Amino acid sequence: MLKKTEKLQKNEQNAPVVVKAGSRSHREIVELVTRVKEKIEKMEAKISYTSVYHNARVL
Amino acid sequence: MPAYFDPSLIDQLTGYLIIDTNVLHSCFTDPKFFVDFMVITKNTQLLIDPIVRLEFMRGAYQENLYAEKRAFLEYDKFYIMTDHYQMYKDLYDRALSISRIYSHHGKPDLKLGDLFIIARMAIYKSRVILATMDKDDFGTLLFNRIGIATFTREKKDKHVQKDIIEVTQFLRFDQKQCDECFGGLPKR
Repeated sequence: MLKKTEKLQKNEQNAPVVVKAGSRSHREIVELVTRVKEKIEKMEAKISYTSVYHNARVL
Repeated sequence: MPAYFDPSLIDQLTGYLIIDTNVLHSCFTDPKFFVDFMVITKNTQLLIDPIVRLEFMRGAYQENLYAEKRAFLEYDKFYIMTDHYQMYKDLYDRALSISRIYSHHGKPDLKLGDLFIIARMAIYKSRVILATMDKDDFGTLLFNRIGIATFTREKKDKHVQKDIIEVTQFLRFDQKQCDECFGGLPKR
């Protein structure tokens, strides 16, 4: 739902009606994504350790 | 993580570009993918379809992951597509027609989310481009392929390092082809 203060952007005919998503800069987003990637790698390392341990038991 | 694409692709990608959930997810989880994708699409206005937003956010049951995803969507280059009464009406009408076309071409199991993305693209006809990694639901039946970009991603954990190759295709809705397909639906 749009807030009253949000400005709809529709300049041309049959153009999509859109609203700006936010104000976070490119640098902020790259930093955020880098943190997310690091978290995923840590999680994957844990999962891999579990699976290696499990495989070792199975073998 | 290098990206491989025809450099002329950058000039061909202009106007509005909808990012599919799979591409958005890769942008969210890999800074190199994100940076390269932003270079390739630098001449476009990046749109987030409400269905893509829902697909991207759903399943984030952990509060911090939910907050990170929300923060990611607040990027100042993203624009959220809005819904209104007329849009709902048009969307459902077109979704029904498109589902009939896909069924006629042997794909009755088109994912509901993808169906609504295609239906929204049909409303704007050739004005919008879609960036997607999904080759099954988004083929050349109703789209013209503008180009592709290949990204290699390193996936490493404690023991193994793997290279994953991801192909993103850029598609434009083909209204003429859609009309022909619709006209070709059997009467009985």
